[in-house]
Amino acid sequence: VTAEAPTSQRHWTVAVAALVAVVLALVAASAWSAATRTRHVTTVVQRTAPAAAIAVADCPAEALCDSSAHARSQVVDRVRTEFGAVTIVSSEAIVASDSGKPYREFVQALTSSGVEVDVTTRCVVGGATPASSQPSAIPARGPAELAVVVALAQNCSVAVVVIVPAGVPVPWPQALALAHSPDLQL
Amino acid sequence: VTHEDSNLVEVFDLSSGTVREPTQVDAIDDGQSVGLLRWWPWWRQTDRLNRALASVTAAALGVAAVAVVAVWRAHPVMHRTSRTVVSAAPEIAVDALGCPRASTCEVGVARSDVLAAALAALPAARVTYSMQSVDASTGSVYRRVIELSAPSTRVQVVSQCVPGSAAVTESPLTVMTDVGSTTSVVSPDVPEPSGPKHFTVTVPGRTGCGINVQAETTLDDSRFDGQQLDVAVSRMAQDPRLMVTP
Repeated sequence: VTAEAPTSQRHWTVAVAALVAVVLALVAASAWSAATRTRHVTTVVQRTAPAAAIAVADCPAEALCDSSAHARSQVVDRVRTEFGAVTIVSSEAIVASDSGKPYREFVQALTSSGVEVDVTTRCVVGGATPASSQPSAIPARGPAELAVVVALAQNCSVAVVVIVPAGVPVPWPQALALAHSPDLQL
Repeated sequence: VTHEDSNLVEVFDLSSGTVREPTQVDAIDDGQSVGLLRWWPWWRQTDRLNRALASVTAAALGVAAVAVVAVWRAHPVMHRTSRTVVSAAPEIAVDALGCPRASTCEVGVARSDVLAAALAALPAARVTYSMQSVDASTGSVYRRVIELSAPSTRVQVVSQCVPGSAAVTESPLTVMTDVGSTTSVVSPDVPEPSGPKHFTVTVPGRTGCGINVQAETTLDDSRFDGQQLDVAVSRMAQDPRLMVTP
């Protein structure tokens, strides 16, 4: 059995259906727009922290240092242990006035065979750990100017430079032993 | 019999002559389900004109809603924030001889013209030590140390360039005098006290470069009074031949 609804009721039905469609469309549109209308724009500014300034004289700018004409005795003793009787030509130390912490020590020695041995221990404030290095080839005899660098903890290192006159054997094993000596570590 | 108001029909049982209840009529209406799909029969019963009208109306309103949203989205609400990310400072690693970690260096004594420039400021002195660290591939000098010795006086000239380092801090010439165990800065307005003196000055060069000159008198020596050494130290610090350049 099929029943025919009156025309006015059909129109009302159509209107209600259209209204429902509109409401649904608005609801969907509102949900969509609510999610997309607000935009968060984040500007990321990349900035690199300023680099440290490496003090020329090894005393940091903010510190007060004392200059001593004598390096630690164990450094001098170690030079004598490795190279025998040497003449200490020069010796100095840069230390913090308040803590006594050494920033640099230097010993210049001259062996009986005329080899100059320069020992520098240095901690570079603001620096990172340096690299160890040594020459790729070691001549048996001078003339030669050779350096071995041993990196220590943090920003410190030890350098031993030997300046060998012509014809004199290069005391490289002694230089290596001196550079690796714990007595030299600051 | 069709009722105008209720969209229902009354069905007469012709054999018994009874009239069924209107509620029961819904159940047999077109053989379709009632409830959620109750609108469907009405849609089907609606003529094509009304269906088309409803469809066009709904579509038009939907398009209008989408258009409104599109316009709305075209002018979004912007929330702007700024974030600063500070990355770590570049590592500066130099060894005891001033050679950067990434470089291969050779050591050697300073050139004769450089030594001559140092001696020109203090002719009575002699060079007791000189060493420089040179990049093996470029020949650039990273650090140079020169020591001069004169009677009762010792001078050290250190010049260096550290790639990546910040500018070297300038330090004007300072004269300090050791009196007993105390150290005091000598004022130009006050007569210099006797005793060993320590001079130091730092002059920046290009970024990361600089020169420091220090002088020490071990005795209150008359040969080099404070003023003479003052001039010599200042002259060395200002001499471009003694400054290491990248």
